[in-house]
Amino acid sequence: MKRFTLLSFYILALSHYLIDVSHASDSASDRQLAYSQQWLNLLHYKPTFFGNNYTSQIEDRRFFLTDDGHNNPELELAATIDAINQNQKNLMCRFPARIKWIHAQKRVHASALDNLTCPELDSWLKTINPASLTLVFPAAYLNSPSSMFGHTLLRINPGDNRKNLSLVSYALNYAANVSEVDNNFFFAFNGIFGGYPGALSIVPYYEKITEYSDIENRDIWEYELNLDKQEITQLMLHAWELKTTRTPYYFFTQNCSYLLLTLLEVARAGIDLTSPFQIKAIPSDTVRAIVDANLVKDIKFRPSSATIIEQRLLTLNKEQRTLVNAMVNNRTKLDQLKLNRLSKKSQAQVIEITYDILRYRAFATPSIRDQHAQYTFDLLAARSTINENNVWPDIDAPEHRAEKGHKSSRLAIGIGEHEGNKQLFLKFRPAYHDILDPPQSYQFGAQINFLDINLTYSENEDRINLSQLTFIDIVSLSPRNDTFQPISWKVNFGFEKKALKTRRADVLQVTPGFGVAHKASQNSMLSAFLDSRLEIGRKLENKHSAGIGPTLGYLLNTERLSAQFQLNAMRFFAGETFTHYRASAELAFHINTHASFRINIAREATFDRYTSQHTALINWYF
Amino acid sequence: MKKLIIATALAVTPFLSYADTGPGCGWGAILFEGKDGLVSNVLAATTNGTLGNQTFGMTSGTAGCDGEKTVTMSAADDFLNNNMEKVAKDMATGGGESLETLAGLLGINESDKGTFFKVTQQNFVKIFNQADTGSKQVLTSLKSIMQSDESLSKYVS
Repeated sequence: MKRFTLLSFYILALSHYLIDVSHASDSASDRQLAYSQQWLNLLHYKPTFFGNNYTSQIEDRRFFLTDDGHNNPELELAATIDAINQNQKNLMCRFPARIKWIHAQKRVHASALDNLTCPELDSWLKTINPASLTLVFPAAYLNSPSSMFGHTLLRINPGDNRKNLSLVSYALNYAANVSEVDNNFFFAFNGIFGGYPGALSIVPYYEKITEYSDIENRDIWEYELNLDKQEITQLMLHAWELKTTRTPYYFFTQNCSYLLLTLLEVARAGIDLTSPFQIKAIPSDTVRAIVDANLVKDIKFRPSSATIIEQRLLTLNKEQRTLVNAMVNNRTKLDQLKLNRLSKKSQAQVIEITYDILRYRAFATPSIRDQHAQYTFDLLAARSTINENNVWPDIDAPEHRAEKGHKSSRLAIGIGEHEGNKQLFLKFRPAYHDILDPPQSYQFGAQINFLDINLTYSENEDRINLSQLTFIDIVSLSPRNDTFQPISWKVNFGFEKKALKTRRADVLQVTPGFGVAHKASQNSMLSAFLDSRLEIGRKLENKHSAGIGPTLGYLLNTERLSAQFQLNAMRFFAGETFTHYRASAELAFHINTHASFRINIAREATFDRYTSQHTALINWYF
Repeated sequence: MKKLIIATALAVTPFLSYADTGPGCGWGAILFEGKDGLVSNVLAATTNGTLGNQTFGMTSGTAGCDGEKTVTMSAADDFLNNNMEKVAKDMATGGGESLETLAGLLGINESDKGTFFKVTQQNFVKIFNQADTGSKQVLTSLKSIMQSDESLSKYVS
């Protein structure tokens, strides 16, 4: 048996040799190779809609050798094999990963690569000297729920004397290549609809840390990957192939995280990461997929500047905190007299945290930088005279890692009653998290829902209505304390069926609000908002209605139970005019991170009429 | 209404990795902006990094690119240029990741790191001199202080 295997190997090798010499193509095995998962991955081919063919997600024609290669894996493979055999100029600089792969499949002669070189590529690889890779996931940042979507990039850890110096390793980053002249509206629009080309770039990791940890105040999760040397090389070569391609960057689908998945698929044969992310690729979901594919061997947490300040302030006593506030607000000179009353270690803590807060503020408000210059220098000078090191306890990583929370799609079914009229509900929300969803891994008080679709069946109407379609719904409750005084905000934008005095109206509404929030305990918050609302609808008086009014809220978030109580009044003063009062209680019982049971009770008063609504919903996260 | 649309649009632009966040290199930006040509240039280069001028080649700060100096010293230069504020804070507090990195780039052995941290803390005011010291001066002062220390002099000769 063994001899037979050996013999067949010789025959196979010989036949390959003959093929190479004759340049004839072995159509049966080429066909097999062209549709092998690795070739499809290398050229980003995906089945077409009807599943009868393949097309590449890379739209740039320079990514292919043939005019039709974009839609034809077989043709492209044959052309690449020919090009290798003909020593086509520049070939190794264009497609090193696929050449190496074809070579490894023994589809070309063993010596076929001898004359194919790319000195730039060699020196690039030598400079980077990749030894291991780390997936970097900056989590959400304070008061910006939209950042919950996050971003992912790859850190390339060098294997030479820069080992263990992660700050000076390289970050491989895929981002939309934005032109600076664009204003933000077009930025968003173009970003979502592929108006910008995506670009791969390599920057020192410390630049990314400055961007995420210091400026945007996002905690960073670092997932060390278990790729071996060969897999890493293949990934690097593939990144090189992609470096000049221009591919539209799509906000939801072909974004930073999706591109990283394609790189990892090329690196490790036999894993499928991209299939579940054809409709949306939300970074935290992709991180979860990477962890589930057993690609991760170690996870580290890198707290942001804001997290460090917040955690360290908690360890100070009242006297220290009072002094910190005075020193932060004074901003001119050290209060040496008061400092001297403290122990050396306490002094060091007070000075350091004062410095950190001022620096944090300088990032938030660049105009105060100059005023701070001398003072911050004096603070450090004073700190350097205190011979106390490591004055702070370690910062613990959050109990729930970024990828441990609920998945971002939500489907809900439920029953309800509105003034004795029975209702059935079906709701779907593709992304992402609301304030009453299972809280693990998500930021407390932050909510962002995209495309929340609600269908309602009402007994008395005996039909199914699209009762609500929310395009976007953001709430950012950002608690205030002695040190930080952020403004909380929210905005909701979408279609809604609205009950008026004698009729119902379909309205397009936008509801922005601003307010303040305070923590009542570690896991509860009180908030007060001033909301405004603009509605546009054919059936409204003068086709519109504009209102303003306060909302008071209490929010509780625990692993088993989340609850929200709200009181709201709104005076509609223009167009359709009326006043609306609402009191509501919502309770969510979390079964686990995949399912949650929710009860809503609301009582409303409009047009001198009181109505009640009760609903019970079961939510699935998937 | 228009403002609101823009506000909404702003809110929905997270993972495009849009980094128009102004000068962004810590204390260097706070203190030295516009005062030291080199630092300003580096700052300008780094903050424009994700906007338009993307590069796939090597950026300074991670590997040596200056032929006149040794690779490590050049990398240390670049790193310091870009991380002045963090290095300063680490020196004042007697340690930290940025100072650890600088020590690594200067080739300082594990056994001498403690001394390096201690010496730079004690000499913080000499190294940074005043609030508007430029990064070149910082490196010069740092080298001369290391020169006069018994166990650190071998790293700057």
